[in-house]
Amino acid sequence: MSKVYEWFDERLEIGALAEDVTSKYVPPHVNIFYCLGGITLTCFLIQFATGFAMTFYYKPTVEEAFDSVRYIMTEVNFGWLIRSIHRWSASMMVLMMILHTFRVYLTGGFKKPRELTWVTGVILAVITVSFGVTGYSLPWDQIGYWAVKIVSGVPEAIPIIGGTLTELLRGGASVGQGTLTRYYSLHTFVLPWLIAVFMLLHFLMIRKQGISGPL
Amino acid sequence: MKRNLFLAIATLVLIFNGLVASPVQAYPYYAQAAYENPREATGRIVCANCHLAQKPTELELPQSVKPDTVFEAIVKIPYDHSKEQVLGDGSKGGLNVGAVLVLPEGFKIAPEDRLSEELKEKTKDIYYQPYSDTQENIILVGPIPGDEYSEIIFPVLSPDPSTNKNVSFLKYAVHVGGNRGRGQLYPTGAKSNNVQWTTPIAGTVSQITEIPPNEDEDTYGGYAVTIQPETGDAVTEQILAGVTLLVSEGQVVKAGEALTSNPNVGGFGQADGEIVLQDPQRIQWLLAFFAAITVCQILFVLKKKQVEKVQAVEMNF
Repeated sequence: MSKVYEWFDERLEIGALAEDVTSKYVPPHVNIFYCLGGITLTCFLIQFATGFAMTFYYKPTVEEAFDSVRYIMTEVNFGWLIRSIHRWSASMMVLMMILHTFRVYLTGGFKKPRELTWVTGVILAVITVSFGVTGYSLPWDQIGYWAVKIVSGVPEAIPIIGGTLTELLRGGASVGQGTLTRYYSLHTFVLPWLIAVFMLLHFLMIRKQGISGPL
Repeated sequence: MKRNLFLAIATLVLIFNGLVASPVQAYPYYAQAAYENPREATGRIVCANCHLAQKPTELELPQSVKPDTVFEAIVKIPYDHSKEQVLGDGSKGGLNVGAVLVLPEGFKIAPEDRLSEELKEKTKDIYYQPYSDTQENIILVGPIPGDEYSEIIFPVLSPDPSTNKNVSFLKYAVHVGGNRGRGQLYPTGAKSNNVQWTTPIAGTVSQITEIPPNEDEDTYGGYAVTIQPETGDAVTEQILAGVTLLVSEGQVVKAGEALTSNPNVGGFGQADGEIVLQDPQRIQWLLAFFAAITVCQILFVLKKKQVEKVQAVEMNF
């Protein structure tokens, strides 16, 4: 044991890392509401794992999407469990994120010097909701189809660029295969990378500045 | 020989009469004869093709059911019970109601021996007819007197995925159509006497003649209204008995103007619902999971209290 530890410590200085982790103490003003951010992260990790598992079976075409989701729910071993967890955890993630925002706001955690942490947090919130919007439509069922139809049509109200923006979101004049492909790509590639980058920034800043002070 | 021919004709007449009589007994027959599936691809239930007025219909379902269990699907067909409708012979009478329930595949009407005493009592006088031999999951009821059945209860038996491999534990869509009152059209496109007549052309009402009832031909009479346009041939509208004429001879009418009042007090409506075919084992596992989480959290709190006690007496290990 100690030989292995020494081998790694010599190269990677694990001791310093462990020291860094164990030397952080939780200040007394911290209560249970300070867990909400961590719970949001946990929800994200669950989303990442279950979502990754579902890409094995999900087919992002308008003909096959619904049937492939049905296949996941009925035929795949524990597919129902994995998709149901993904669905519930998605809602929980948004809920926990909102509650976390409340906690930060009410305890003044956004004030100097933590303005940038707040800004990255707002961006993370936007990304999280975008995850929800894009994921909602992927099964291509009635509710998902009409949701994407309405949501992607919202920018149409913007003068001049509205029409172009809607076309960009839909990948065509109307909702169709192009839209599903775009939403799938956003949900499984673009947004995960974006959220990873902003999460890293969010956490690095928290690490650097420590937990916010008492009221 | 002659006698045989006579017999054959008599038999044919009897069969023919039977065929004609049966739709009069049950109007959903029209839909069964014309459509393989009562729910069109657009989601519209075909009853709406003849029952033209739209009225509300409600569907009440349990949120979820266990496999191989009897549950109630309640279809509510509300209407003003003080109103009477025009009957086929032109007289007035109470409204009938009917409903079609489109259940997910595998679901069907529960057999009598599976019903509770209470449910048996509630459904004893209703005849639940499968839409066709192959579609036990689509059920027709009616026409039945609306004053007694403004709420129709369907006793449904859920399928068991362990014995029926075609069904799985999933959330399913349920559709229902509910109707009160007679229809406005026959499958041939002919109007019934429960509809408002309008004039197809503009012109002057030149003649109104009353048509007497004819028992031999099974007609109940009515009016023939002739409209003479400024140029061209006159058009005669045959109006069936039971409606009130709004025009009189010599009156000038615009195209599309009403010739009669609208006697229809009924209408058709449809509703959708969802039902989960739930595996009881999954619920048990979920409860066990929640219990494990609770125990886990309590242990964490106890451990923290213990650590705090140790810290309080400054015993630093």
